[in-house]
Amino acid sequence: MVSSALVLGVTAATVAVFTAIGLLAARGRVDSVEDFISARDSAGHGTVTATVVASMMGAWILFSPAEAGAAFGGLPAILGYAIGSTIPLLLFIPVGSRIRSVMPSGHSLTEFAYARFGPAMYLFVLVVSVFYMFVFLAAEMTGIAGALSLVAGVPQWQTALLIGGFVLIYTVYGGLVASIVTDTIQTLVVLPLLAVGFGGALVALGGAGEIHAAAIAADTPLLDPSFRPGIEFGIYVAFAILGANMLNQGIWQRVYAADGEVALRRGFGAAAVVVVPMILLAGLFGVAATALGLTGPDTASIAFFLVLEEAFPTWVTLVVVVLVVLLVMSSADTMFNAIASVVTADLARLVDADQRTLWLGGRGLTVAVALGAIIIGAQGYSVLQLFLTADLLAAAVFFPFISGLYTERLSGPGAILAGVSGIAAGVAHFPLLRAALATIPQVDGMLPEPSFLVAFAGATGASVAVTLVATALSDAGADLDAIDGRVRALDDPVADGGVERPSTAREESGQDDRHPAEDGGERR
Amino acid sequence: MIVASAVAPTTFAALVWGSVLLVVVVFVYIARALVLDRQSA
Repeated sequence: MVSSALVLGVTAATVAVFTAIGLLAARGRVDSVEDFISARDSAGHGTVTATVVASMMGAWILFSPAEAGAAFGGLPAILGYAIGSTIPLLLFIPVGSRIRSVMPSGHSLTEFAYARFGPAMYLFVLVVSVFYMFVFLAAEMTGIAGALSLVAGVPQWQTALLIGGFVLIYTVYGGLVASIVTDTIQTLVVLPLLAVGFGGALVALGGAGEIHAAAIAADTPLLDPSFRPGIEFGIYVAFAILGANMLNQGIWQRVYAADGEVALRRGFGAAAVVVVPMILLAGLFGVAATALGLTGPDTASIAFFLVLEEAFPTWVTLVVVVLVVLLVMSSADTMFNAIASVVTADLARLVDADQRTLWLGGRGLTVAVALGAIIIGAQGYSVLQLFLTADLLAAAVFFPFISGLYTERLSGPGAILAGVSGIAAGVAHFPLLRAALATIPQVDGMLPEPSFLVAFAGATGASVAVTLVATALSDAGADLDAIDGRVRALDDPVADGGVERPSTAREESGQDDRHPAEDGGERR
Repeated sequence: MIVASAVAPTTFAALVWGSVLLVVVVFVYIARALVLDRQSA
C-alpha cells in the first residue's frame, strides 16, 4: 500500500495548484451576482466541451461503470451506461438552443419553472433538482474519500476536508468563472491521464486478447451483448441519466455560457462523443477485473482501485490519485456553484433583497453546500439508494418541465399532474422503496412486481403520456415570449459594498419579475 | 450458450483500443479548439 502521507501530499499539491488557477482566473472578473452564477456568452466551443465533460464526468466514472460491467450485466450494461450518458448531451443541443431563445436573460432552471408554470411546479422542480445535485456531490466526496482510504489508508475525513475545503476556496471567490476555467484545464489533464492510465492498465493485465480469453474461459455473460439483465440495466440507467441531467443546473449554466449557437452545438456534441469511450473504458475495466478473478460482484464498484492496489507500481497509483482528485474537483465546483446559483437566482425573485444581500447569500450558500458535502463524504455512507431515488424523481419530472419550453398549452397543474403520475408509476415498481411501501396498510397486496427497468421506464412513460394528454385537453395560453421579462437582472456591481440601481430596465418597461399568477395573469 | 454469443476477440480489442484512441482524438480536438478560441478572442 502506498503511504498515506505521500498520497495526501500529492492530493494537497493537486488541489492547491488548481485552487491557485481558479483564484487567478477569477481575479477582477467577478463584480456582481450575475458574474458569480452566470458566465453568459463567454465560452467558445473548446471551453464548452471541456467544462461540460469536466462537470459531468466525476469520480463516479471509476466506480459505477465498472460495477455495471462486473455485477449488473457486462458489456450491454456498459454500453447502456455510455449511451445513456451521451443522450442528454445530444438533447441539450436543441433544448439548450431553445432555452437560450425562450429565456435569454435567465440564470437557472428553477427560474424557468417559476416563470413558465408558477410556484407549485417551481417548488417541485427545485426539490428534485437540488436533491439530485446534492446527492451527486455527496457521492463524489464519498467516492474519493473511500478511494484514498482504500489505496493508502487516508482517513476519510481528511480527504473530504482537504478536497472540499480547497474547492470551496476558489468557488466561493470566483464562482462560475473559476469553475469553468479550472474545468477546462482539468479536462486537458484528465483525458490524457485516462488514455494512458486505462491503456497502461489493460496492457499490464495482459492486453485485450488476454482479457477476452479470460472472460470466455470464465463462461460468464460478461461479453455477451444480448445478455438480457445487462440490456435491462442499460435501458433503465439511460432513463435515469437522461432525467437527472435535464434537471442539472450545472449543465444549464453551461448552456448559457456558450458564446453562440455554434459553440453550443459543437461543445455539447464533442462532449457527447467523448463520454462514450470514457465510460466504455471504465466499464470494461470492471469486466476485465472480474474475468481475471481480481474482484467479485461484491467489490465490483472498487474494482479499479483493488487492481491498482494489487498490481501496479507506486507511480501509477499516484497518477490515478491525481486523476480521481481532478475528476472530483471538476464536478464538485460545478455542483457547489450550481446549487448556490439556483437558490441565489430564486432569492432575487422571492425576496426584495439588494445586490449585497444576494452576493453574500450566494457565497454563504456555497459554503453551506460544501460543508454538507464534506460532512457526508467523511462518513462513508452508501449513497447508491439515494442516487437511484433522485434519478427516479428526475425521470418523472423532466419531460413536462422541458415541454414547457415548446408548448404554450401545457399548464402548471398539468405539468405537476404529469410529474406526480410519473413518480407514482415509478415508485410503485421501484425495488428500493418496496419495503417502505409495503408497511402501508392496503397497499402491500396491490403492489406490482418490483423492477428497476419498469420503474424508470414507467416513471418517464407515465409522465410523457400525461403531459401529452394534458397538453391536448387544455390550453393554458402561456406566453413564451413573456418569460424572459420575468427574469430579474443581477448585474449591479457590489464590490464596493453594493449600490443598487433604482430600477432595472425591465422594471421601467413594466416587466417586473412577478409571475402572472400573482397579478391575475393579465400579462398573458 | 453464453460463450458462443460473446463478442469476438477482434471486436473486443477494437472496442478497447478504439475507445482509447477516441479519447485522444477528442483531447486533440479540445486543445485545438481552445487555441482557436484564444486566437479569435
